[in-house]
Amino acid sequence: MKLLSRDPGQLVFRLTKRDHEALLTTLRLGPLFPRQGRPISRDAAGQEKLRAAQEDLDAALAEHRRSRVAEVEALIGDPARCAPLKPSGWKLTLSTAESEALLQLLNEIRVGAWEKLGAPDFGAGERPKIDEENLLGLWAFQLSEVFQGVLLDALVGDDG
Amino acid sequence: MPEILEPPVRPGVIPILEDQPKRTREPGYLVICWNDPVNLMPYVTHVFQAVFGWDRQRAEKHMKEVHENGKSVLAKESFEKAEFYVHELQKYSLQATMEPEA
Repeated sequence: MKLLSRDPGQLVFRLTKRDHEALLTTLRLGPLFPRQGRPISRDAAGQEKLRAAQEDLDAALAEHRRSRVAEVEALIGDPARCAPLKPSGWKLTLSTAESEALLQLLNEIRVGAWEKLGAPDFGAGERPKIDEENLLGLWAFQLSEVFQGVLLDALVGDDG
Repeated sequence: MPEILEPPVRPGVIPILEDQPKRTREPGYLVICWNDPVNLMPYVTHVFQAVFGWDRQRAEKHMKEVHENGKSVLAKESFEKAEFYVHELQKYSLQATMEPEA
C-alpha cells in the first residue's frame, strides 16, 4: 500500500492485489481479537461515579467498534472509494476522518492480537511462541502494523 | 415606568468560598496515559495531537514522558471532560484513565 497523493482532507492510496487481499483479511480477522477489559480508572475504589462511568465506557467502546467496522467495510466495498486499477491493483480514496477511522480499527486489531498472544513485552526481549494457535494473531499483529505505518505517515505528512 | 424591586440585603453576610461545605466543590480529575509495550511512539504522538489538538512538540513531550516515566498527566479536568478525553483516547486503544486528584 502506497500513498499516491495527499490533498487537503483527502488521501489516495494504491494497493496491489496482495495488499488488497491482506487488508481485507486483516479486517475480517478483527473479531477474533476482542480487546480485554479497559479500566476507566486505576483508583476507582469507593467511587460510585467511576463505577457508573466504567459501564458507560464499556458500552461506548463496543458501539464505537461496531460503527467503525461498518464504516470501514462500507468504504472498502464502495467502488467509488476503492476502485480497481488497470492492469491490476486498487485505488483507495479516503477522507482524513476515514483514514483516522481505519487507523483506529487497525490499531484495535493489532492491540487485540497482541493481548491474545499473551501481551509480550517485545522491548524486554519477550517473544510469543510461534505455533498453530498463535499464527493468526502474529499475522494480524504484523499486517495491521504495516498498514498502520503507511496511514500514519500519510496523515502526519509534512508535519512529521 | 415600573418600579424595580431589589432583593433584600442582609448587611455583613458575604459568602466566601472557604465557608462552603467541601462536598459542594467538585474535585478535579487527572487524565493519565500509561505506558504499554504495544502502541508505537509515532502513533501515540499522533493520537495526542488528534485528541487534544496539540502541536507536534507538545504531543512528543507527553509521549516521551509516557515512554520514560511510565505515565504522563495529559490534563486536569472536571469529571465530565476527563471522561470525554478517556473515551477518545481509548477509542485509539491507548491505556488512558481518569484519576481523582489527590
